Amino acid sequence: MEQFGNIVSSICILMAWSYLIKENPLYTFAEHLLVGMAVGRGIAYTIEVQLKPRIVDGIVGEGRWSLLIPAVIGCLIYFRFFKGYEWVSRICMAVWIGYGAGNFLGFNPATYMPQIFDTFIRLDSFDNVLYFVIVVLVIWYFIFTIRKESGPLKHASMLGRYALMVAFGSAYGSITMAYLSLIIGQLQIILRDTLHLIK
Amino acid sequence: MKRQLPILIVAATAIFVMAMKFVNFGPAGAAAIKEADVWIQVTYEFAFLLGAINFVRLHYGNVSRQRPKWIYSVVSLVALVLTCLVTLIDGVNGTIAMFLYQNIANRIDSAIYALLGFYVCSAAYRSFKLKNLEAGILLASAVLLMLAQAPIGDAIFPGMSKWGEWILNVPNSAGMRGIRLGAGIGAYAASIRVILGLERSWTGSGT
Amino acid sequence: MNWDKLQHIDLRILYAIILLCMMIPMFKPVGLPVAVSDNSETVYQVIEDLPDGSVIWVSHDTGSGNAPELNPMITALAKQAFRKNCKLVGTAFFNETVGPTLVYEHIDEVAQEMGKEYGVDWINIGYRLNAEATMKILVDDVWAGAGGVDWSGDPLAGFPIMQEVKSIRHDVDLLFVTTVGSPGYATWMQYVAEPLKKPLTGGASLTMYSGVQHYIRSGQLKGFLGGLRGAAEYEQLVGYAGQGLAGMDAQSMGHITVIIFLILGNIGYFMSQKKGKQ
Repeated sequence: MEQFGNIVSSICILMAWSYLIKENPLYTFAEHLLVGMAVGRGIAYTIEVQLKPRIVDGIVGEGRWSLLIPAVIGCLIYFRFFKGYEWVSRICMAVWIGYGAGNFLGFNPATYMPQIFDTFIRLDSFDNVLYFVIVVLVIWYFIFTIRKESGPLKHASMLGRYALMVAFGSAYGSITMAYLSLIIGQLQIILRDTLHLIK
Repeated sequence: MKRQLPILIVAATAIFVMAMKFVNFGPAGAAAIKEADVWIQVTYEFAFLLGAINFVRLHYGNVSRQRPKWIYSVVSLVALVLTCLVTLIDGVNGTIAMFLYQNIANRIDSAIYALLGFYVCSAAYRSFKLKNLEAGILLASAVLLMLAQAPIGDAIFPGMSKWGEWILNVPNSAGMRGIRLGAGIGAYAASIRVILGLERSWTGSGT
Repeated sequence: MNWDKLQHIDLRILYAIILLCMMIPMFKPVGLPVAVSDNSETVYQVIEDLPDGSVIWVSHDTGSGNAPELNPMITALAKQAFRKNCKLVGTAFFNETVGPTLVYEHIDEVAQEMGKEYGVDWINIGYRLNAEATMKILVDDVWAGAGGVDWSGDPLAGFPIMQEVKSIRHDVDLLFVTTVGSPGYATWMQYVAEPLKKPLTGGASLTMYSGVQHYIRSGQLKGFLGGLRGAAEYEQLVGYAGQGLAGMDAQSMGHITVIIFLILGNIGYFMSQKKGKQ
């Protein structure tokens, strides 16, 4: 059974990778199969693990009938499919957006402030000085309300831009590594698990 | 009413959540915010079909109007129904459900994502040109990191990985922090605009 | 020589070359040593310093795309944690279908090998809609946040481990989060780690690793593993050769190939520019 699974896996990988040659029916088939299966499993998972326990144990079992109010609010989202009543769905969205914004403003400063405090470190080593200077330069680069057309203001902004290039370069280097490791993962399934050609 | 009600709800919900965080209302407050969190979970649970309905409408439309490549929409719809039924009957971690999901959906998903590995190579070849100083810094930093993060870097230039670590920990980290600090202020401003009703694009009426 | 040709090699040839270059070291592994970074060392040490029998909350917040980078971290963590008789509670918030399945599979494999039992030594709660709300509830009431069931819908009351783990605030000693985006480490930091002052560690896909460094520096993350390389380093520290280490030679060849492509592209660009000027 395990070997059969590995063979199926390898065929699926090759179907997806056939896109590298050119767009073809095998790839399109695999793509549509994936989205269909993902949505199908998503529905089943939500019913089985969230909706069923909530209704059977929570609302009916424990008699928490007050939960019918959010249930109705959640169902309002489906009004977007009824012409002329789309605005009703925005009530549900409003609750989500308000909750998200409130949470963000309430909880995020606790993660944001340490970033500021940690920037004002002791300037007792080359690394610390460089760190502080780069943070200031990058912030300076992003301040667009002050004219920086010439002189030291412009040069500071330019240095900030160079510092950003170092950061983006290292991000590109890391991303290259990440994506290559994804290819390795697929090759291991084909060559090791299915064909047993490597250890 | 159609425009104002959602904006009022946003403000009321946000103020309630923030008040519960910043003001100590004792056990009653803790119970109230916990109940609110559960309510939010419930709204999501009952709205979960939104994406699926959109998906089915799109593909059903393709099939019924016989649009180009409609046959693939049939594949998607059949896959949806079968996977859903198998998972419901066999259980989320049932043998058949897991087999189908792990060996087909998961594999196609990760293989498609892995295509990016090939594209990153072609991007390096076609687009990463040394046109000016900025591009030079970007390229130098990227090459150094690529060498430092694979074991071969240390094999060619001993101590390379330590240099890579330094770039990540000092210049990169400082640059990213600068971006984070700036983006944070932007995000706070955007949230406040939403709460005050100044940002209304989500209501369909523009800002 | 027509330098323009160097700029217009058929991409399919490039794809074939990269594939070949990465396959060769898989057949003939060199076993290049992997130097352990300070960040990986910190992750290992934070877990090692936990008292035996502690509870670790593991959130495998990944989609299937980046999973090959992050799965080895979960396996290595399970090995280290079970060796110390730590208990594991799994969740997954990034993707409702991928994360819960993978966290189950990878911990289960190690658990069976080390004689640990599901529901007693570890449990998988899985995915719940709206990570923010769920995390906020989990802080004080794990049962309520999970809706009273595990990832397959079985009641939590049937699992002895859940008698010990009632809330993250009182019963969890460490958060280990693997992350590829949002929800991920930032969400855990915002709603759980910072408010409770709980240590937060884990690993990130290398696609976002450069963006977590400033959190490590400020101490908000206790070290962090970076992609497959980080997993390989962590495997070394835990003391076994897993998926991470197995891929390191291929990774090296891949990087060299990309750098060669980069050089080739630039030579072609410069020479054709020069020719144009002439």
